[in-house]
Order: sequence, then C-alpha cells, then structure tokens
Amino acid sequence: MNPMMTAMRELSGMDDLANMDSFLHRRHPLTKLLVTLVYIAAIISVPGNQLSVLIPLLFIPAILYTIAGIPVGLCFYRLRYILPLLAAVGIWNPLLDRRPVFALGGVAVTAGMISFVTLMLKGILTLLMSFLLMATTTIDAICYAFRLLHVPEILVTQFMITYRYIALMLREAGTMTDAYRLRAPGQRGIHISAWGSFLGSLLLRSMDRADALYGSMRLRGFTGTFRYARTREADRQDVFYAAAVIAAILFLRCFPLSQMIGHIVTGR
Amino acid sequence: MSDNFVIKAEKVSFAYDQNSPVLREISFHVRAGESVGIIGANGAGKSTLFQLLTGLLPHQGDLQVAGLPVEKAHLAAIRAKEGFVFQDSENQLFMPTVLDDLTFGPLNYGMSPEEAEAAADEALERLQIAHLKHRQNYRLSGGEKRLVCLAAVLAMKPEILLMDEPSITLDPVHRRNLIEILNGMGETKLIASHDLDMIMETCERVMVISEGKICADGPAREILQDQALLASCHLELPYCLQQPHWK
Repeated sequence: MNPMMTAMRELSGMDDLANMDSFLHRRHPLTKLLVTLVYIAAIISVPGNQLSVLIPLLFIPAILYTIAGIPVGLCFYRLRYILPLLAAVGIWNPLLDRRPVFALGGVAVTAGMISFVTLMLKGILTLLMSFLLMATTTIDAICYAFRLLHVPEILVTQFMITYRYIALMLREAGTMTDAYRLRAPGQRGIHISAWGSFLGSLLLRSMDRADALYGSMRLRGFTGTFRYARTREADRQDVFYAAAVIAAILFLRCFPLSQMIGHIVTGR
Repeated sequence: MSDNFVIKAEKVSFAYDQNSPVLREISFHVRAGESVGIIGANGAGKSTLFQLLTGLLPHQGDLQVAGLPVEKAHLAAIRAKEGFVFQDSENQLFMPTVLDDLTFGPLNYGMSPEEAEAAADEALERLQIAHLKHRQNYRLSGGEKRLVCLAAVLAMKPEILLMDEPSITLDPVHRRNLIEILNGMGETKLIASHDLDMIMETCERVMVISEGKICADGPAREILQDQALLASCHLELPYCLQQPHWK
C-alpha cells in the first residue's frame, strides 16, 4: 500500500482506538489529561543518572494499558519512527562519559551508559503515556480538556485544525503518489527531478482543499470556536481515578522504592 | 417579504481576474419553495454562483438571500438559512466521525448537544443512513460520503438548499432515493448538475448558464426538451428523452 495511505490509516486508527470502550475510555478527558501531565512532569523531574527512580514508574503505564485493553506493542509499532530519533539524542553519552559507576558480571557500567538508558526510558515512558491519552480520548475531547484547563482558545483551535489538516495533506499526498506511480511503472519512489513540482502541487492542492474545508466550516457557523458535543461533568469515578493514579505517581516518584526493595532483598 | 423571493440577483458579476469574468451581470429571482435546476457545461459558473450566494466569494452587483444583502455583516444570518452541499464531498467532511460532522453546524448555531444529536439523527433517518452514525468519515465510500454531506446540511434545518452535483458518485438506488427525498422536501432548492434526468425529475424550473450568462430561464419541461438550446450550450437532451442507440 501507498505509505501515505498507510500513515493515513494509522492516523484514523487512533480514532478507532479512542472510540473503544473501557473503564479508562469512559473517564472524563480532563482527568486523563491531568494524569498524563502529572506523569510526564514526574518523569521529566527525574535527574539524568537516577535510573532506579524511573523503573517503578513503569508500573503506571503497564497497569493503565491493561485497563484500557490497548496492547503496548501497538504503541511501539506506531512510534517506530520516533524511537530511533530518541536513541540518536543520547547515543553519544556512553562515549563521552566513561566514568565507571559499578561492574556487572565483570563489565564496567559507565555513567554515560546509565544516562543513556535513563534518557531512553524517560522518552519511552513519556511517549507511552501520551499515546495512551490519544488512544483512549478523541482529539475533540482532548481539546475540550485543554479548554477546561484554560489553555487559550486560539492554541486549542490551531491544534485541532492542524490535526485535521495533517490527515488532509496525507490524503492529497497519497492520491498524488498513486497517480505518479501509475504513470511511472517500475520506478521506486518519486524521481528526484519530480520532487519540486510534486511538492509544489501538493502545497497548492492542500491549500485549495484547506480553503474549501474552511469554507465548509464557515458555512456551518464556525467562527473560530469549536463546540464540543460529547461533554459531561466529571463524576465520582473520574475523581477517584485521577486521585488514585496521581497519588501513585507521586508515591513512586518521591519514595526510592527500588532502593527500599534492594535493601530488603539484599539485607543491606 | 411581500414578493416572496428568497433569492434576488441583479446584475451580479464575478471574476477571478479582470480579463476572464466567470459570471457576467446575471439577474434572476427565486421564490420560496421553488426547485430550480442550474445546468451548464463544465466551467460555466454553476459552482461559482453557489459560492457567491453563500458569500464565500465576493461579488459585484446586487445579491440578496432571505431578504438580506450578501455582505459581511449579514453572512452569519444568511448562512444559518442556507445549506450548501459541495461538489466534492472531501471538501465538506472534516470531523472524525459522521455524528461529529452532523452536529458541527447545529452546535455552532446554538443548539445544545442533545438537540444537535437529535437533529443529526433526524437527518440520518430522513436519508435512511442511520447505520452510518458512528462511522469514521475516512472509511465511508464515495456514495456514503455524498449522503453524509447532505445529512450534515439537513441537520442544520436550512430554508434554502444549494446542491452542487448532488447525485454524483451515488449508485442508482441511492440516486433514486435522493430524488424522492428532494421531491418530498418543502425547502427552496437550487440544484446544479449535469444529471439532467435528475433535474427533470426534481425541478420545475431550469436556468441554463453559458459563458458566464444565463442564456435561458424557464419551465424545466420546456428547456430540457429544447435540443437546439441545449446544444448551443454544449449540453444534450436528458437520456430519457434521447432515442436509445445500442452499439
């Protein structure tokens, strides 16, 4: 299949996931957004060499993914293009910082290795929780939650429209790629000589389509403010969910659980 | 309005650039409840006319819809009374699901979420596509998208319906269904189409646009049988009026 169309299907697959039904899917979007933000803040606050603090925080996404019925592997598959970038950011740490910290089976583990793994893990955990939010909450509901947090309307609208236009550009690019391939049989990808005109056409077509879509929105009363159909007040279960998960995150972040378990196991 | 006209156009013109006007001083009136077919060759200006009537494009001349001049100050009020079904469904559907798209307009016009969903349900029922309610727009077939576009417009309960090629991409059964639905609707309808058979079945009046001008305006049964007129505007008789010519 055309890679653009694959990307398009994956994007629409997020909406499929968000429209599933589970305890987590039914929670108020604001509670899910708050949990995600607190979790990401907790992850970011962990210093670069404290791998042991991060490991207990793995339990949170593990439990939430199970509750939501979303396979973790799906997240890694969808984020397959981002993970190498994440690795590229920290790949120099083991080479630049070679101070040995401890030995593991005769092999010296350096501070650079620990900071690299910590960085990778921080990135992965952040992505896992962000993906979980998107896989359990529709984009409209996320935007609604942002508005409840008083994020400026213009930013929220930009976010929502950008999300919609990404889908639109992918579709346009997919159609153009198909048309190109049908008239260039046996050729891999788009020849470099056609890149300029291809990108130019894509831009013009996307602008045309975006303009028509915006026209359609204006004709249906859009004046810059999105109205959200599926809104409701948070109930007791929502409050309980948010309180319990945020308390667990803070507990795991603030108490050196790994060290405590280590002391108990080793008796030292 | 004493004269009962919902659309009044006097010497309306539009040009993307000065040297090639798309519409040249066209004048016409449409009464409330009328069904008017707008026909013409490709590029004649049918879609442009709809864009002028909705204020999406600026115009020269005097143009009034529902008693209000089509100008910035009145666009919100005019658009609340108009429903425009675009020629290309992809340009109209932008929300993730059918329900989201159908409630978009009603919510913007102040309906509560419950009222908006009820309006959406009613429109879906009317077009017999209630089973599509929770489907993703991206996954719909071309014909389904067409019907959803129409439903999205009907959910706004417009007084004036502007439809640009409504039967395009519909299979024969859904096309027939659409014709019956259009015939059962009391709203004012302007239908631009190359499907002259559908125009014949749904419109009592036809306007022919050619080279930016209205070259004929009158009863559908007269205009659609006038072979010479149609030929001069690069059109043909509706298929049902042509002699069958088997290969």
